[in-house]
Amino acid sequence: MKTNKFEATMDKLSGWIERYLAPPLVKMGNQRHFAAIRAALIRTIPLIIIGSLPLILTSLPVESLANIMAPYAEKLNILYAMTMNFMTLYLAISLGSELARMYEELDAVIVSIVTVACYIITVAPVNLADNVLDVTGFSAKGMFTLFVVAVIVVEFMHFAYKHNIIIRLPKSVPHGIAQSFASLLPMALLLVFFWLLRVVVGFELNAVLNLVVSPLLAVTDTWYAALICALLLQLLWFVGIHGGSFTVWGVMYPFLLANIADNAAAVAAKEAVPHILTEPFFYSWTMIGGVGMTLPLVILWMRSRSAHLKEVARLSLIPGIFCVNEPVMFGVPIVLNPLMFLPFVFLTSVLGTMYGYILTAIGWISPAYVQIPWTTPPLLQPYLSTGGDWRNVIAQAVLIVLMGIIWYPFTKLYERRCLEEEGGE
Amino acid sequence: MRKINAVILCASAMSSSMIVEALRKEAPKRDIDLTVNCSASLRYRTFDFAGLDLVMIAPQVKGQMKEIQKFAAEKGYPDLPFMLIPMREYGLAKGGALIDGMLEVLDKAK
Repeated sequence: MKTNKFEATMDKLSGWIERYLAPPLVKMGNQRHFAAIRAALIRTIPLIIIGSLPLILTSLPVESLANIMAPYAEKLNILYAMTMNFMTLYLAISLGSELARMYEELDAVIVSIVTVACYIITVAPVNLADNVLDVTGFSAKGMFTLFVVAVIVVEFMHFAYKHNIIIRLPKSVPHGIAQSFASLLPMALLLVFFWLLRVVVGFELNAVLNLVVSPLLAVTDTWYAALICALLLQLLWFVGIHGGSFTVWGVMYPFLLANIADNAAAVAAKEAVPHILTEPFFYSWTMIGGVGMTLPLVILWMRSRSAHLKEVARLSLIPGIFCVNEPVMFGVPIVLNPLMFLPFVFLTSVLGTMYGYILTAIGWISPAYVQIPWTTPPLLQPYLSTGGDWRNVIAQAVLIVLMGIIWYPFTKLYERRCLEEEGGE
Repeated sequence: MRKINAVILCASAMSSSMIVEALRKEAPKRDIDLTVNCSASLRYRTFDFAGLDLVMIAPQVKGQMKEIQKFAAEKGYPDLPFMLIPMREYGLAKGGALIDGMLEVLDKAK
């Protein structure tokens, strides 16, 4: 009887999440500019992954190997600098075209070009005296400026088309030719606007935005940011909503990328790595085998006496190794399962996040500076993302065992329930 | 043989690829000529809805369904049927049950 009361409370709670917590977050995640930024970021990730690889080679953890690599370090770092340190420039191309897709009449390539031009004028106006560009704004340090510039560009171009601030040619002129003239006026107005702002008035948007963003950057690198992030992630997933889209990948993503770029720069300069929270952090300490640390859970059920749980476990093992756990979430199911609420929301991912944060903060393990694919399997994930720190691998192995111990009583409890149902059929 | 052209949308086209495989395995048994692909729901603005018979939405991105439906309507496909994949069938990649569901939605839309 006691269980039923407990389950009723859980039901009420998940109902509350579905009704009050989820809708505003989903609405925010669906906001089209945010969604475009997220999509644009995700498309530039491969370049950032490739870009951080040379850093592994130039900062090998073993000294004898590091000495062998030392003469090639400078050349290798150019590969890093031209990818990672230019990430916002590439992002400008990607973001321009993603934003352009919001409006039927806009041409993605043209919007991309205008975005890149306005962004370069804003962050790196050329010094004509010696023909030099300051490229610091092309790194993650110009990312927030790009967001502002790109949104202004695309919204103004849309506005210009809507209100006919364009050069229209007679219908007999072929579409392609007409298009090239049509965009000329809004394009010119935008370029002149950003030129006036930066070159004539001397307003440094990038410096001002970095001033505004830096406290945010600091806040998004704290234990409470990690905690809130992990809690929201779990609560949303518990009601079956892809929580990552609104937390780690949503609001946090630009900050996490800025952090890892900063970490990479520190490693390249042979300085101490400054930030703890990065994308690999969350995949190493929050989502081993997916949200809720379901990999240990799957392993525990591989030999379950319940045919259902055994089936789910077998189906989920391989995707789980690559951090995809929808089969567990929906198959078991964990989603909306009152028995799973406590371990899933509070005892697994949230604990793991704190564990990873604290160990990094006290210096027992290293922060990540290599962006790697989120589907990288456990144990490899912490190893590669920290440029080969064994302590991180051991810490994760310990965490996996710990999570197994925490999951164990709940797996037994649910197994008994499944067996009852299976026997009753 | 019945021809169906469908797309499955999930957050990053990872888990939906498992469903695609399950469906492709099941379809020939049911005498259905099925073309099915998966895609990331976030990038729905880049989709071409032409020639599609059905859009299938993974349970974890159900919050985007209305948005995508609206977009499809704007693009000139207001009657394109949408199907929210039931959570359990998605998790267990139940090809048979999923095809039953697809046929039901398609027949209703006719």
